[in-house]
Amino acid sequence: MISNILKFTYSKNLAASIILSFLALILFDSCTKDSSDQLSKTTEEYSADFILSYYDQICKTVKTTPGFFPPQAARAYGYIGIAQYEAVVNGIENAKSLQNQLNGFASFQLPTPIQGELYNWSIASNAATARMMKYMFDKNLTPANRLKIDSLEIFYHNQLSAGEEVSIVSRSQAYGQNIADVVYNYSKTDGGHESYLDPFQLPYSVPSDPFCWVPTGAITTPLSPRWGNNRPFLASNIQKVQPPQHMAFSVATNSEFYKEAMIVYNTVTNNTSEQIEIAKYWADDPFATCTPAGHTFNILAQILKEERATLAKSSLAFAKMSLAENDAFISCWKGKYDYILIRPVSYIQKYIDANFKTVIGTPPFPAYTSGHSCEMGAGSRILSSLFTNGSGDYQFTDYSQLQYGFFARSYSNFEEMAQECADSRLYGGIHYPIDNSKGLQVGKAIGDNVNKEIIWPLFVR
Amino acid sequence: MAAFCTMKKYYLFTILFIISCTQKVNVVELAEQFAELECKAIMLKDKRYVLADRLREIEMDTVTNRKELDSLNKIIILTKQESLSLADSIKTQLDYLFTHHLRDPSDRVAFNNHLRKVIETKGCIHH
Repeated sequence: MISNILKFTYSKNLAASIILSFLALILFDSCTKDSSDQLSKTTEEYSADFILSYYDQICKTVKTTPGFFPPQAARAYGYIGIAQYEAVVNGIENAKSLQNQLNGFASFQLPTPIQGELYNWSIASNAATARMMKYMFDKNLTPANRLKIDSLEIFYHNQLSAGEEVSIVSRSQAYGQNIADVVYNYSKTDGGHESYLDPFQLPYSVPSDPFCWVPTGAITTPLSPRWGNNRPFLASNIQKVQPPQHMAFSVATNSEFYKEAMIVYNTVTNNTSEQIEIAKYWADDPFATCTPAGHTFNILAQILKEERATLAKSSLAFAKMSLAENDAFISCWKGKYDYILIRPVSYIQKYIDANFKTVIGTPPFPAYTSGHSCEMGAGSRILSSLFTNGSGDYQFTDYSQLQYGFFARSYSNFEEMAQECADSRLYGGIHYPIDNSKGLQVGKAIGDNVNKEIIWPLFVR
Repeated sequence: MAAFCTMKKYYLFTILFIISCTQKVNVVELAEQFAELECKAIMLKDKRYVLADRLREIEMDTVTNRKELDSLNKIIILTKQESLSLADSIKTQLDYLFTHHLRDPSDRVAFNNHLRKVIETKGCIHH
């Protein structure tokens, strides 16, 4: 089997080598042509290698910075994504700044490129991304992470500046830094500024109604109860997209509520080893990962690498995902604290089986709706818009969890992946089926909204 | 680009290099080399889940000795540090493999499939 694969790979590679040789010939041929127009490069002409390195570093920074729970992480990714996009937007054909398109952004004056002057958009992006990262993790940023960001910035600045006129380099760098400053000022007014210093937003009292959330572990107050009041990037993501009222709370054995809890109970009791693996795979497991939003960004970064996407396509992709993930968490958290629904483990232990145990730990916040389902629902729609004709059909393997001790998982459609992520919360015993189905629905609506409401450039390579 | 254009004498060498790189994909060997790291990652992941389960039990048990909780938290911190460091190494290795050896998606899938086989043989997976 393996030898067959190798034989097949060998013949494929030989063909690839011949094609590469021809491409190299064409490249050399092009060297002899007039190169005067190379000064006015568009964003599509730059490699995305450096921006992809930053996204690796964001994940590492989230993992090692105190106070970055899923909502806080999604917000950090969100504003970094906007800064890096704004830094290059003038170099993307038919692209429009987000300034007059995002909620409350119009009152913050972004710098505009000086008419008639040349810019290197990759240098601008490098400067904007590095500065924005330091802003978003700011007071809790460890010296080691600060050093890593600084090193990345210097390394790529030098690499991207090679052969470039000094005036273009300094102008582009200053432009990127100014973009980050303005985006940071914008971020300060959304309600989540420095939320990593107080992620539990104390004091907060949970109502004592029987349907209400109760602690499921040592943490006695739920995470970020006022996160739903944060300003979303698109107001319509909150105004138009909210989950409906869940089924009425009841302990009657013939009630809808009890039936939902029994589905959780029976699923956990009869889980297959594959289902347990899926529960843990998507849990973005204890102590060691960059949260569900980080997992989704890792998947996006991997696909961008595989597609050999340009800086233009990568910047666009990260911007779209940033809006979707940030708003998915705000919308989801609003629902969680509008309903404050009791977790399955608390209900089941009280009314069905006192010895019930979940597969994975129940996170310290209410059940309805599932954060994973919201964020991956939103993410799946963004991925579909970027890499498919809208069908979501795309053959890919997620290698991002190998680093945490999981085998890669393969999918043929982004919706299929999102569904598995949502189902994983049921297999884990931490969500009712309705948390997942409605979460997925809300998330997909947010993803669609981000795709439709913003004027994005079309046909970006 | 201008500097690159002056290096035409290296053209043949470049092409030979590309060919040699693309022809030497040996997913079996690569998977076997990588399996050692991944095996450690799997064991650490299992350890993290065991620790998380124990933490939950202790947290829900109101009569638990405070000392046990403190000692468990110390182990958790060490395990987390070990996991993060290993995750970094694996990510770096994987990026290298994907950039230099496993450029073709079908090679990556073959690599992943073989990795699973090697790890199962090594006995790193416990159900």
